[in-house]
Amino acid sequence: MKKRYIILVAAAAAILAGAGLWQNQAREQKEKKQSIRIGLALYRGDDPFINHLRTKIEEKAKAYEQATGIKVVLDVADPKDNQITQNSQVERFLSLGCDAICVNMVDRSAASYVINKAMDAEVPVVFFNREPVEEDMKRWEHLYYVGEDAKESAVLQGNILVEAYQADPRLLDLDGNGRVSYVLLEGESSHQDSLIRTEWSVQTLKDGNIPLEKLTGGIANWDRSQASALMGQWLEEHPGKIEVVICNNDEMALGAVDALERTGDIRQVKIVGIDGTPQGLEGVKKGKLFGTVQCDSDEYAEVIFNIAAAEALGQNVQEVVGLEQGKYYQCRQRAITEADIP
Amino acid sequence: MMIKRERLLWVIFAGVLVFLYLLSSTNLIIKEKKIEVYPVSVVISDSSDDYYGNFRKGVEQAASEYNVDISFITLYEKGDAAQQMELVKREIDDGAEAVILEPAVPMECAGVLNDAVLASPLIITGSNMPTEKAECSIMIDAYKAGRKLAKAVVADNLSALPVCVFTESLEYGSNREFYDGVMSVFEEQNWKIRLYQKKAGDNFRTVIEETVYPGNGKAMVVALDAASTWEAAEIIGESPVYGDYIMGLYGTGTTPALLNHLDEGTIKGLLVSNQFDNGYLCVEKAVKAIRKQSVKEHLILDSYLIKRTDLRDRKFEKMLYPMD
Repeated sequence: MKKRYIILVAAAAAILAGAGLWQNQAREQKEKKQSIRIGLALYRGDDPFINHLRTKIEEKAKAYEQATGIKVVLDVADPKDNQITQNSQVERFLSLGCDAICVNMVDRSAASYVINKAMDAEVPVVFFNREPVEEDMKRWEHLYYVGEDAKESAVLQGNILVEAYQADPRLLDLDGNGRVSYVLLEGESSHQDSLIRTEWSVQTLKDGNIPLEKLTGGIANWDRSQASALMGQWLEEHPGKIEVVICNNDEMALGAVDALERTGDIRQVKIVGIDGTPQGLEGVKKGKLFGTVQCDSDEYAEVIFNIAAAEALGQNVQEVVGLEQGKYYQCRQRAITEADIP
Repeated sequence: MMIKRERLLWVIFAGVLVFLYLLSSTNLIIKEKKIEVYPVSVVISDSSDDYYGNFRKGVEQAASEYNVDISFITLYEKGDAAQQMELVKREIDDGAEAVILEPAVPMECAGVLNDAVLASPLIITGSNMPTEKAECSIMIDAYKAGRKLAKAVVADNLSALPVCVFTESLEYGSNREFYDGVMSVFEEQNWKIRLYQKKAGDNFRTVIEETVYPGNGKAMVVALDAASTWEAAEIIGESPVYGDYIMGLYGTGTTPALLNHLDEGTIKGLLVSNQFDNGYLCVEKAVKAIRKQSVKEHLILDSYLIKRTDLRDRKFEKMLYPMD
């Protein structure tokens, strides 16, 4: 009997000691997390939209640091559109002990490499802007994606033109031949948003009963100078005919403006973009762009940062950010024309 | 039945296997060279690193060569010296083995640092600071650079024109010394100078527009820092009308946006220095200081006045567009 009591007391003491140790460890862990380190891997630092987003993320990190007193070390890497370089930058982030990494993939189909490395190091990943394929996203519960709904952007872009046409068809049909002749400037063919934006912009115009005539289209890889070169070529091939230029982003829209200015074409060609970059909005303000679709970059950056910070601190991400399927977030967007800019 | 010799051979064989295992898979016999990583913090004087592209490239290059883990710290608010000093303290407390500091307001920073006990070496860059606490300082001679810029303005404009001098604040960084250098040349020429400081509430756009519209005559703009140069260039570049009244914009900085303005002719002359080398040297000196090697020195980097044509010069091309 006495022996049984001794065993019981010993077991209770062991449990208490274990609990105390566990609590102590938990407290130590909590105390340790007075600083978090986040790696931010961009696909290209000189892309104005991505650069703007990077600035916003840095602002959010500073605001978070001030509000919570938790130090945030933000490491930023620019692989200059090279996936191999990005892979090694991600490895460096992991070896430096980043608590979470935010990755804007160069090649979204190459995300498995990043995911493998992150899973090995048990470091959560917030992908943004370039969505990895679904199979990759399903591989781990600590993978997230923040982006914009490409169909929504396209429909909003198309509606800018539909509303203008409904107000006065001559706004788009510059030569009054009863058809709106347009050209298309598309982003990279490998980007998930590019095809959807193209498809739904045109579909929205058709749904709005605009009589359309597609003159031509081409891929300018989101790039202003490539768009400018293509547009310059089209202006020569179709002199005085292009009435509307539909662009998958603002940079290409500004490239089209550059080409029009260069060739001295003074017709009121309507050019629409997507992204609402500072440069794009400036273009709208000056009347060079007819409109753009602005994603809420504050929200975009905040969500990316909040997910990364929550993961870094071991918090429940769902309590911080409302996610679809536990891992997806689509940012709000709105159409912007000259009338919307004060 | 195994004879004794055979047994011995087996034992030796097993011993060799164990030895090879220890040799190849453990650290017991051949000690793996431990790579020491030095945590170094760079605390700049600005709230963003927009004007630090080439400097950062130099920092990163040296960091990869010397195994340095860099924390690049920007301020919450530009010119907040008190906060900058808190950040320096925080970084040292958090384990930075050296701090590279670009003082936001040199006099104020020096006042704090001279009373502080620093546990890690301090490398100063950007502007001269009266402190004994720095292991090493790396910068351009701002006074000489100011004179160089003003001389170029005088050489390009034979007749005296009013000069609008733009700056964020004379208190920031080396702006005061730069301004003194500029002024020393203009005073020799008896040119009229008007100083506009953003921190004091001056608005560059209003100044430029007022020069143009009421027909006040022609003027020139000299900007003392990269941010002011960029802002002035953006305003002047907006309309060709400004070009009829603003006879020249001269400034400083090496960002691609500023170099594009120089290439387009919006900026007539830029005062530049090798920012890549500056960043690289800061990290190199920081590592030497951590290794307790003597680095006590005051390094003065060259500054150059470049014009549009210089952008294609190999020497400047290499300096202004460094490879990653």
